[in-house]
Amino acid sequence: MASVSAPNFLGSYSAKSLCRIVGFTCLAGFVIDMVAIGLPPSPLELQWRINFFQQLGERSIILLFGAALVLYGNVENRRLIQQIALACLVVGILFHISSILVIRDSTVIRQQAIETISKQATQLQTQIEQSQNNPANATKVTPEQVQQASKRVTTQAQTLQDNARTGVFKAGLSSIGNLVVVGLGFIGLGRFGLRLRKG
Amino acid sequence: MNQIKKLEQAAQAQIRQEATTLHGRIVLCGLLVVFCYSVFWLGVLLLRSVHGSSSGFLQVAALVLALQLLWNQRQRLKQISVPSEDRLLGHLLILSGVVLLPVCLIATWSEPFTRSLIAAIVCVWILAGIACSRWGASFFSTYPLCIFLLCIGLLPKPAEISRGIWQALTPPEFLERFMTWSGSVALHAIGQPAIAEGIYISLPNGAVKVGWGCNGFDMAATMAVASFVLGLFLKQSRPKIIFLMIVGVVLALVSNIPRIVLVSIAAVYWGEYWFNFWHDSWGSQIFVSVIFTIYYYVVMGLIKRRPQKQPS
Repeated sequence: MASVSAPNFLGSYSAKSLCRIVGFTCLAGFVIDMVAIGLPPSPLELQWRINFFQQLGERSIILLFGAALVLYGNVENRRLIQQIALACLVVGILFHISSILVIRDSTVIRQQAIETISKQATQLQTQIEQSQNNPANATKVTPEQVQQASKRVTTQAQTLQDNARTGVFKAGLSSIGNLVVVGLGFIGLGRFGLRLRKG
Repeated sequence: MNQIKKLEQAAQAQIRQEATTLHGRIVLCGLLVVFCYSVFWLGVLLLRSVHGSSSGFLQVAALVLALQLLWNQRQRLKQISVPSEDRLLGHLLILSGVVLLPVCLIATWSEPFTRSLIAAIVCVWILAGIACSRWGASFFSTYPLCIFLLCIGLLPKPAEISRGIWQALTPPEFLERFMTWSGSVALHAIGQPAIAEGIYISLPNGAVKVGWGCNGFDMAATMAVASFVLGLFLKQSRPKIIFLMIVGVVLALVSNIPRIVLVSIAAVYWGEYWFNFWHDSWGSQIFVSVIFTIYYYVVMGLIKRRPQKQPS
């Protein structure tokens, strides 16, 4: 008797219990991580939001993994399965909504970075023009040197603006990609859970 | 006139029938938002097409093709039974999209491009919800082409988005440097002592900068989409459509080299008037017409040479 029941016990109950333990640990770990990152909360601040969603996107795979394990661990409890599946659907949709917010925030921060670079370039150009008009510098600085300096500032400002544009786009693309993919994963998990409930 | 009246009556009867159930009311709510956005967006696209934008015309073509594909499948779509979980997911998507659209429009009111991009995404979102609640999630795996065409048709400024993705994934000024090098090689071939330095082509009498607008990317992207739409229109197989797209992209990039040569010579030797002529709209249109003529003969040759196998 013992030799027959032991593998069965190991095969079904142990696997589900293990999944429950690892699943809840993943969920708890994710929540602790996000609370630590999100505190103190300032959702109206652009920098906080960008950092929070970037971290959320990077860590969200743990949440998905945990949810899948918890779903499998409670496969016999149909009521709980339904609740978890519905929560997965809602979380999937929320992830997609947050990706829209990331698009908006990325464009705002890109615009801010470009404006800051433009302002600094304009200030430098003004200083160059002032140095040209200053009679004390008239003998030290030739018009060609002034022209070269002005051209260099324009080129560097353009390069910095291009770099800022590409950098923000890359970071945004990475966050959006993570959020959308994991969001789709959650929606798939939710559909699977609801189908499982029906039997 | 009778046909219009019949269509109007059928639409009214359908709306009345839809309004009797909760599912129908949610779908109608989503359709209303999509309809408002579509009217606005079609206006924008038609205006762009009238002003000579090729992408505006291509987007209208993509939308019409997508709707035609759906219309052709209407009998099959009517018979699909939807699982309850897909219907629930569809309702959640529609309702969240309907709530989200005005919030997004208010949040991004100062930036026109972001506003139209987000509005388009939410519109696609609501359409996905309608499709999911009407035909189930299997719709997305059965009709990927239709979904792709709808997304292409609704996205604002696909050229800007593809530029961003290209610049994010490739080294800085990759295509510009390649075009500069190719241009200088071509100039050498016709006896001009050109030197490529980064994105500058230096000639004895001056230098020319090969910027983003001159690297041929926009033309290559337009040719890729045009080949895709043409392949669908001519009912070609998938590998053949991909082949046509590759031909279009290669042709656009290769044709860009003589353009760079001509613009460089015009800038350095012929003066500002001829540089502006070849660099701006007149020169671009002459080049585009030459490319499309060559492309037409190449594509027609390819399609006629390898006729599609008819099912026996």
